[in-house]
Amino acid sequence: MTSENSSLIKSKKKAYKIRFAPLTIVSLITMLLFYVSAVIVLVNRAYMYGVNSLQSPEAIHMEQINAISKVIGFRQVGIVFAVVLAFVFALSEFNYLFSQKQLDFFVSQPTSNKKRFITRYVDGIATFTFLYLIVVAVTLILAAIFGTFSRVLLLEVLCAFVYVLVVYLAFYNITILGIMLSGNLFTAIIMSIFWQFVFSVGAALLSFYREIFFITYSFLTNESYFFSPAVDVIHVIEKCTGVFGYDTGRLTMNNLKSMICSSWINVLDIAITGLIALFFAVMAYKKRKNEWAGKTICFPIVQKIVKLSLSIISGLLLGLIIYYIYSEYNSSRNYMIFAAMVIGCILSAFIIEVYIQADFKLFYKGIFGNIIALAAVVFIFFSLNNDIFGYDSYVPDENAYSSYFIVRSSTYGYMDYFNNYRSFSYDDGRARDLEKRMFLTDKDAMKELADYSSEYVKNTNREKLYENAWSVQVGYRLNSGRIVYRTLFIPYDVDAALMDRIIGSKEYITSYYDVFKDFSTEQEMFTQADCSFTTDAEMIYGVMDDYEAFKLVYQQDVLQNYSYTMVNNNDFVGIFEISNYEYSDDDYYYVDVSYPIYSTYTNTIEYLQSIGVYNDSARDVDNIKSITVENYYPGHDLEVEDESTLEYENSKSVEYTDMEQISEIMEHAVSANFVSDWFPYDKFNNQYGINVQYDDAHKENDTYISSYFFFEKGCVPDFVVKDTNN
Amino acid sequence: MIEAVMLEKSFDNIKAVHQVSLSVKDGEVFGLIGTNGAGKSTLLRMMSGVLKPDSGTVCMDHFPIYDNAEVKKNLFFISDDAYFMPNSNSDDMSRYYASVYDSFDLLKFNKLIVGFGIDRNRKISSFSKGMKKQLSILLGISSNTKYLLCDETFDGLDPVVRQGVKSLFAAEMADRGLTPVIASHNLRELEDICDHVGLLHQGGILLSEDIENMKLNVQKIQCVFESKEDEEAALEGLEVMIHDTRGRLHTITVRGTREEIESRFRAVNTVFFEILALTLEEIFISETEVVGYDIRKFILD
Repeated sequence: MTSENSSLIKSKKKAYKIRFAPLTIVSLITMLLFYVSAVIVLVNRAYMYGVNSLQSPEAIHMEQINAISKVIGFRQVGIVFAVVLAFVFALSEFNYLFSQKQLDFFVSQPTSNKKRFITRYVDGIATFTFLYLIVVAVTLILAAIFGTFSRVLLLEVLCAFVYVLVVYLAFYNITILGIMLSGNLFTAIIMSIFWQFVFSVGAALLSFYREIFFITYSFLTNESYFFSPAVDVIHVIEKCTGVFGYDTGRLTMNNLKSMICSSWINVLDIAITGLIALFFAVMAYKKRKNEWAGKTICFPIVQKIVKLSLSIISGLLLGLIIYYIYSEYNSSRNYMIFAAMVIGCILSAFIIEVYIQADFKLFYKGIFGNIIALAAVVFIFFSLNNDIFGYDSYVPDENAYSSYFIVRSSTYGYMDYFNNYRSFSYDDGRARDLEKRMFLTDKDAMKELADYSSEYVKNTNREKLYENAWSVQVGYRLNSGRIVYRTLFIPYDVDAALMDRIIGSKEYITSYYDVFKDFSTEQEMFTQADCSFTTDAEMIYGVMDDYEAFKLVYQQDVLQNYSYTMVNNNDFVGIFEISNYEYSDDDYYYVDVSYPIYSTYTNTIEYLQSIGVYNDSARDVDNIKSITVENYYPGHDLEVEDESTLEYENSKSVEYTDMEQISEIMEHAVSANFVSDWFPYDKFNNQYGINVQYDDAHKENDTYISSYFFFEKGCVPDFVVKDTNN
Repeated sequence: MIEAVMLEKSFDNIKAVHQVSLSVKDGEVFGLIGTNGAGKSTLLRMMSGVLKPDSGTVCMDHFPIYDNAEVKKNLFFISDDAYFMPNSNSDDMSRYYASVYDSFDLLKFNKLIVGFGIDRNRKISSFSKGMKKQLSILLGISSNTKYLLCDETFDGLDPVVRQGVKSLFAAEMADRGLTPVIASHNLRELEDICDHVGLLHQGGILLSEDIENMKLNVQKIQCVFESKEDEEAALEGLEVMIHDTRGRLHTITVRGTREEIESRFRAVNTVFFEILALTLEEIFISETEVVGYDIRKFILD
């Protein structure tokens, strides 16, 4: 190498150092501080927790590996550095486009526009990659020093490295796109943020509006956010964290595979968004004129697109704000929302035009675009308010879907337990679990039920929909693979035979009850487990010695007896619970399961009797010490009056100890402790609350039992009415 | 040679350069003069490849300049408000340019910077405006490019430095055929150094001529006529650019050769007449007054 070449290389290095040294050094120091501190703190915390909890060395070791995985793996919060540095480096590389001075300097030099772009583009990527490599290397070295290293961890870190680069590239490209479309720094920042969020914000707003206007909108609806890297990053963290359940997961190959499988679609969206942004950024760069330095938004077409989008979004946002201010439904609320949408749209159109023109007097320019934005907002409102696309009345043709599932919130009938760092509870909630397992095929019954719902909704004021019907979420599995979700309202007076066809079907029962799930590998958890049987009156404890036997009889009883009619009649006896835990050097798990018992479950009752926990004397009035009846609306009768028209004043309570009165009260009292999915709320008088205090002699382990009941409608004893209304 | 043919450039609705055609021959100093807002900087930016013409062509040695890295190796543009890397000193900038221009001579730069008394290790952000201009010129000279485009570079330099720079230009032109293109309002300085000038006004070119030819073809006469008829006879057929009268004393600027004018005035009766030498500034004012650019009118109206 000649001295001339050597000098030139030093010149290039010096040039790079001048441009980048301060920013790179500050970024590196900040990242290292964060990652190193996080590793030290979390690894030590895992150790201290493990020692205090008497965990085995192997368990502590796994927890420490998990801690490092949280710092540098898919779940890392440090992904924020990738986002922020993408933004900063992109601005640093390309902000010369905003200054005529810098343009004169750089563009007059003997470099082609293409080469200038590529050099700067690659510089920004190479700098971050270099920084992140150092951070990862330092973190892994620390892990090795702590003795918390594993092959799975290394594999996760390598995969996460690629993921972080994908995220960096996406945000980097989007920021560059924002820069290419802008003439000054402030506008570039706004444009970058705009392109990052416009699709997700728009989709979210439309989703909110569907929820506001459509009665049958279901919370299960999967809103898809495309071209939204920020939302994708959050989803990746959520999904990967969800793989580990309640923060007790171990980093295993299975978990790593689960993390990748659950989040690959989000990573793909991030990557595609980044590529699309790069494509448009390059196109804009080629078309961009250097004299645009100092302008706001450079390209007229982009000005129009941004103004149109922001005007519509602003209108929708203002409408949403009005909705949340006036959250109580009233007939004029929708018109207020509309007015807010229009005002928001027009005002923001003016403001944006003023910003683009940099002249207050030119707010009126682009009137045609304003009209289009306004038309769009009006159309959105009109189509939602009048449901012109038939959202609320939608029921797929029976040939268009293969099966469906129904979800009704339920207190009992599911399992929730943990085993050795892996959660068997619902990864994504009870509803999603049923979505995966329930495949109902009686489409005729579904059609009839949907008709019931439509009729009920059509004839009922919106604010009273929940008063006389159960709401359920229905998911139709279309043949295309998509699932369409809707909320149905099943009126309390629905045909029981129709409901039995669905609710009493084997398809429903075996998917609804977790006792039909196969947990054969975890049987040891239920051996010698604690159990209890709880009725209105008491709780009796015992020990489970043969879970398999119990499971068989319970399955048999459920299949033979469970139906809508049965639960609607609420012939409920009590709840059988099993709980167990193990916390030792060898094993770590916790299990807690609940099984509702009805009077027709004779085989199960026989089993419970055999293990000494069953007691059917709960309703024996001789065991009752006193009853307190509370009238929430003294002087009124809710069986004829509308509660919503009354103002709540002081309630009145009366205590009864006379056995005759107690007997009469209990004759028409219905337990409020154990409420099934199909509890017939309309059959019960909710003006009176009945609190039953049981005799001390029936206390179990000093547990004091008091129970709450309702009166059936039309069955409130006269003396109760008289005593509590004076 | 740099050749511009029918160049046009507009910014929004403002025509900055309108159908400008000129040639910069190798080895000559080209002065670009013009009124404020005439389009000098815009023209220089097009010539240095910073701006792309809306129409027309600007070529260097028959190759278009815009986005042409090969061609740009032969030019160095010193803008009116030069940019330097943040937190850099003269040394840093020289090394930067050395990495950009293959022909950059670090030794020459080191000599020049010592000669001009600039502290190489001092941060450029602490330089005065004049010092920054000096540094820009030295960096431009040291780049050893064929063309050096200077936008109002002389403005802001003290007289001593100005002379030094002129000498430097002359030496570089003699040694290696440097061709400077200098835009300036300082016509007195340009007159000393330029061989050729182009006069811009409101985006268009009023003239593009050698200075000597320009001076040969415009004359300034001070005279007193015997009578009005003599005045009319003397000026008949001549292109009068400016005609001032104070009492009987006439000061007239006309187009034409000295011989032509002299013979015309000798043919009429004058009390006296004298042909005076015109400075570039006077030619500039005359030419622009012809097209209506007269500041005195704005003040007096």
